[in-house]
Amino acid sequence: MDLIERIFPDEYPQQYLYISANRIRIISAASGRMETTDEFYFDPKRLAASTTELTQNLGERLRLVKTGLIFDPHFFIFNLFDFEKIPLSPKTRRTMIEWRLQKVFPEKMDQYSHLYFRTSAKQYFSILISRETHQFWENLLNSLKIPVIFSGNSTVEICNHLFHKQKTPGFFIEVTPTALVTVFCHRRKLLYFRKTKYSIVAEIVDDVLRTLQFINTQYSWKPDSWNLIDFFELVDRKKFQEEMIKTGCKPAPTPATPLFFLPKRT
Amino acid sequence: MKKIRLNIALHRRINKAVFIPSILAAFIFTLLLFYFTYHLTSRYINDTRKMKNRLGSVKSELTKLEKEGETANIKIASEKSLWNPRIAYCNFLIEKKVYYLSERLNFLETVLPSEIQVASLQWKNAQNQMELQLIAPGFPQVLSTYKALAPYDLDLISDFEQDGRFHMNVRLKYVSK
Repeated sequence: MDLIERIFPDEYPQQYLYISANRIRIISAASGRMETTDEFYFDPKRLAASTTELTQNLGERLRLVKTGLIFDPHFFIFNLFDFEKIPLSPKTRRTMIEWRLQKVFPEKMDQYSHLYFRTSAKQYFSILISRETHQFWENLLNSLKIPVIFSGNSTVEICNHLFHKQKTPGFFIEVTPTALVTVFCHRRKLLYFRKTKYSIVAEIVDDVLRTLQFINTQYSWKPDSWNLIDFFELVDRKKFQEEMIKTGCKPAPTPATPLFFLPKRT
Repeated sequence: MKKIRLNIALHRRINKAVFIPSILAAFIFTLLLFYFTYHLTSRYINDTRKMKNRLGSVKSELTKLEKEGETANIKIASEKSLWNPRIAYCNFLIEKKVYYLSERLNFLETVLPSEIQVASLQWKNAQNQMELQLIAPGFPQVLSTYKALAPYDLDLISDFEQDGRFHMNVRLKYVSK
């Protein structure tokens, strides 16, 4: 743990809102015990036009306590950048990372919050999120007089949970209603990050198997264990497990549906 | 993988339950550090000041001793000037009182003719005299002995002949060269 984080740790919210593209789950985190208390759907297309219904829904379900927002990967753009040499000056480092980002994401950056984190000696993990998105949700909760003290991403928190320790699984699959994220970690270094959109659940297994094949040929490495983070239980876990075992990959020994997407309490 | 600390909330809050004890611990540590630094520094300053004071007093003591030494030297010089002639006179007297045996024997060896044997010898230091019993092989040697010893206040005590040899008991004054 960083010294800064040790001295200035963020306060833990007493409830979380897990926000995906069309669903919201409310998770109570009172006295450190996490449990899902409520869930409801919303229409993302009508969101910009009218927020009254959503505000009303949230107002009825949320407690007036310090709240955290967890956005699913649908709202984020992730990139992994490997460098031969990382400059010491933070300004030069930022310029270098932004230059690499411009190559893969040639849009205007004004609308986005760009954050990047050093994940290993020569690697940076770049995260982009639309400012409008998280400000919209924060303003919405603030209008209900609910203080938002945390605003993060589920994939990042899963990475912190699974890969920030000695024995890590080879990869994890995060399944949300609209996005599928596969993250590979080899020798405590993020190896590959893939985020795709899918329309039918059947595509998920195929996509994961194809990605696994790609990793096998590209990096000459075969991960031996995996974690499936499927909070909304969209995938048939048993069937998925059978398919994965066929490839020689065993599930990592973790609870079936842990709330890994929430910030780790230390 | 290093932990990623992602929180893009506009109003983040620090966990006071962790932050306050950490800050308190840091504050107490700083206070302790300050106290020890202050304590050590003040101790060092005090020690330095004490050493300086001591050095000053040692210096003044040294100056005082030097002055005393100078006074003593002057006194010694004056005493020397007073006593040196007396000492020289004493030494002269001592020198006069002592005698060198070898010198006296040399004197005898040079003065006495070669055929003369010394049978006995007695010193009389107070009178600066010596008494000798001499044996000569013949009468001419007796005469040459008297002749040789004549300049040294020769006092003939006795002489006689025995077994063809001449025995002489004489007293003479030793004259140093």
